[in-house]
Amino acid sequence: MDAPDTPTSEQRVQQVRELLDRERLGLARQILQDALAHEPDHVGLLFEAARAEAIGRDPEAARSTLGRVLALEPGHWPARMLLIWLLIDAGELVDAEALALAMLVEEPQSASLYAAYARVMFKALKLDKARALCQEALRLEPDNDTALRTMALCDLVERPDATDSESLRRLLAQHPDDQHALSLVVVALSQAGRNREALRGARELLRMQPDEPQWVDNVRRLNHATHWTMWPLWPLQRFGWSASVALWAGGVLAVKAAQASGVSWVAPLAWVIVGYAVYSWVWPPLLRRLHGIRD
Amino acid sequence: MPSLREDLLRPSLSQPADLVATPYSTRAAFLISFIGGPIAALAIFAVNAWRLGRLRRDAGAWLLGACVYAGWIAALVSSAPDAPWKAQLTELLGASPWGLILRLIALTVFGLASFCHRREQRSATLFGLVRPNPWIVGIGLVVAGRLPSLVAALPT
Repeated sequence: MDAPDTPTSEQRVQQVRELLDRERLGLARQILQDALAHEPDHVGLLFEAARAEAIGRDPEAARSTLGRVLALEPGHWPARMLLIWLLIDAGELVDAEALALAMLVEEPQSASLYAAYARVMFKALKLDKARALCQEALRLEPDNDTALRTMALCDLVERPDATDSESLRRLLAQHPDDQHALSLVVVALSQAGRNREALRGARELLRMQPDEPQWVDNVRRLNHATHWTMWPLWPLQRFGWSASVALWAGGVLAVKAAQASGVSWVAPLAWVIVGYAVYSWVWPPLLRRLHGIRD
Repeated sequence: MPSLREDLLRPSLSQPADLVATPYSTRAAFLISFIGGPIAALAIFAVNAWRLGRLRRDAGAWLLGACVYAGWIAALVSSAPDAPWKAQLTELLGASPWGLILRLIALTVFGLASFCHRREQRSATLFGLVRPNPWIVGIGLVVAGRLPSLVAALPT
C-alpha cells in the first residue's frame, strides 16, 4: 500500500503532462518509469509515455506504446489524435486519412481533427482541400493553432510573398514566442527574397533553442544566402528561374543587338554575360560546401 | 447536419495510387527544357503533371505550348526558304535564328509548367521532399527532343 503522501497515478499523469508541455523530457521519463513499474497497464501513464517518446523523436517506440494504449482502450481519443500526427510524420498518409475520417464520423465538430486532416491533405499536396479543411476548423474554433499554421503553410506555397499572410499574423499575435510561428515567418521572408530579415529571425530561433538542428541549418543557409559574394546573384535569388530565363533571353538579345549596331565591345559583353552565368552556377554550390551545408 | 461538409469528408487517398509523387525539380525541368528543346520541355511538363495527378488540369496549358511549337514548325515548313519574314528574322537575330527560337519556345513551355506546378514545387521544397533522380529521364528526354534535328541534319 502507498504511503499517504505518495502521489496517485492520476496525479502522476497530470505531473508528467505538465512536464511534457514544458518539454522537460528527462524528469518526465523518470517519473513515468517509476510509475509504470507499479502500474504497467495504466492507460493515462502509457499515453504520456507515448507522448514523451514522440517528443523525444522516437516515433517507432511512440507508435508501439500507442498500440498498447489502444489495445487497452480502443476509443482513446488523444491516443488516436497522436497516432494521426505520427502517421503524417511517417508519410503514411492513406492510413492517417482513414483514421481522421473515422474519427470525424464520431466527432464531426472537432476543430482539431479538421486541422489534423488538413495537414494530411497538405502533405499529400492536395492544397485546395487542405485550405478548405482549415477554413472548416477555423469556423468551428477561430483560434485553432494547428489550422492557422496549416493555413499559413498554404499561403507560403501559394504566394511568392506570404509575409502579409493573415493566418501568420494571427498566429504571431496569439503566440509571439512560438518557435513554429517564427520559423514560418523566416521561411516567408526568405521566400520573398528578404534574406537579411530572415537571418535575424533564424538567429532568434537559434538563441531560443540552440540544440535544434533545423534552426542551426536555417542560420547556415541564410548566412550562405547573404554572404557578400552572393550579392551579385541577388536577382537570381529573388526571382528564381524566371530570372535565369530573362538572363539568357536578355543576354542573347543584347549580344545580337550589339553585333547589329557594329560596336567594338561585343566580345567583352558576351564574356561578361557568360561569366555571370557560370558564376551563378558554380559559386553557390561551392560556397555551400565551404559552409558545410548539405544539399 | 449543416456544418458537415460532405465533400470534405470524402476520402482523397483511399488508394496508395491517389498519393501524388514528388515532381522533378524546377532545376531539372529547366535544364531538360533548355538543352532538349520544345519536345523535351513538353515531355517533362507532362511527366510532372502525371506525377502530380494533374494531367487533366494541365491539359490546356500543355496544349497551348504544343500549339505554339506546332505553329512554329508549320510556319517554317509551309513557307518558302526565301520568305521575307525569314530574311527579316535572320537580319534581326543573326545567321541561324532557328535554334534560338526553338529554345525560346522550350523556355516558354517551361514557364507554363512552372506556373501550373508552382504550389506543388514550393511545397516539395518547403518540406524537403526527396525528388526523383533526374539523370535517366533527363538524358532520355534530351536525346528524344534532339532526335528530329539530328535526323534532319543527316546527309541524304
